[in-house]
Amino acid sequence: MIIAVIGIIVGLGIGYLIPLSVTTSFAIYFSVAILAAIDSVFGAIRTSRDGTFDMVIFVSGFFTNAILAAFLAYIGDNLGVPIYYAAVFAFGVRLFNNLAIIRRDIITSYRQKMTKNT
Amino acid sequence: MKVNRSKAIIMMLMITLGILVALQLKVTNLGVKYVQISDLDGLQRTIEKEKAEIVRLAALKNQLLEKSEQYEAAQDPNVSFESVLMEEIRLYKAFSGYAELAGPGVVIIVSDGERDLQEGEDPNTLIVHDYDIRALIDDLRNAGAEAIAINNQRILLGKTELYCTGPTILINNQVFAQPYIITAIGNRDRLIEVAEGPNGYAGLLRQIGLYVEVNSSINVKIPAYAAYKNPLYLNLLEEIKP
Repeated sequence: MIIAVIGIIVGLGIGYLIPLSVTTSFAIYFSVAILAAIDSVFGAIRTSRDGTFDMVIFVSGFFTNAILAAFLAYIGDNLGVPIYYAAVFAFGVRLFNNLAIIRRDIITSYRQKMTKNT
Repeated sequence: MKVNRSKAIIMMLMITLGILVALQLKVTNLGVKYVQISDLDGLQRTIEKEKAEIVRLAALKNQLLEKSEQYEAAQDPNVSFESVLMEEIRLYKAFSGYAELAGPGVVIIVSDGERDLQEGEDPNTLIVHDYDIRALIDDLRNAGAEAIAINNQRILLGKTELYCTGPTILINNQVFAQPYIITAIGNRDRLIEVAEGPNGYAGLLRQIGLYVEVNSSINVKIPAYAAYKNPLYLNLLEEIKP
């Protein structure tokens, strides 16, 4: 968990410092890719709490989801179909699902700790 | 060892995510928004409008700069202020119809139709009317004609009257019979296109059976407006302050 936070901070620093930037026309696809990546990360956090964490699934999901989401959004824009929304919806729903599961997991483990102490 | 490797991978992925987010934040912080396809058309039109406005204002700026340069030059003792003002008066005369003009343009000849009337057909259909002339003039003016005359009578918007008087037309308080020769100064190609092109009035008249001839000319002469009258009813609402 600490590693993840450190990684994010380091990444943000690097991203700000390097003189690269996304062109505005691609920013929209980039945002979908980021959403997919964040979704993968939350999925990883949930599975690690469950104890079913699988590194291969996490890494492959991280990249393929991000790339596919951006690619489909791009294709959708060219076809005039806003697939962008579908990606946002799918990943968003899963993200919040995972968040809820993580929250419940944390609360139940905390309660168990409390009952053990008393 | 295995734990360390997975930690390293997680670390790397997180760094990647951080870089992606930072790149995205850089763009979104610019204040640029995603444009929906449905809004694109309207926005493009707005941009075009604004661009046209910029061009117009730039032209206006150039004009004013030129004028100020002229006035500044007039302060030179060698150039009299009077000559600059006279030059300006000449220009205004040309625009307001007081001066004779010449330039490239078109000559349109319109006269009554010569075909036989069909049974029951109104003979009025084969006669050139004032509204035919008016429509032709409007076509020319829309095509950017800078000066128009009919039978050597200057046509001024808001001044010239075109009035049907039986088989003749009253133009600038003078009666004219056919043929009507419309001369106009402007972009020759464009004037001809408008007159002769699809939905052009010249073609329509020809279809009805009237005689219409459209020619371009390298040098069209257009006389000054000669029927100025002192206004009887109009007064300035406000005296122009110096």
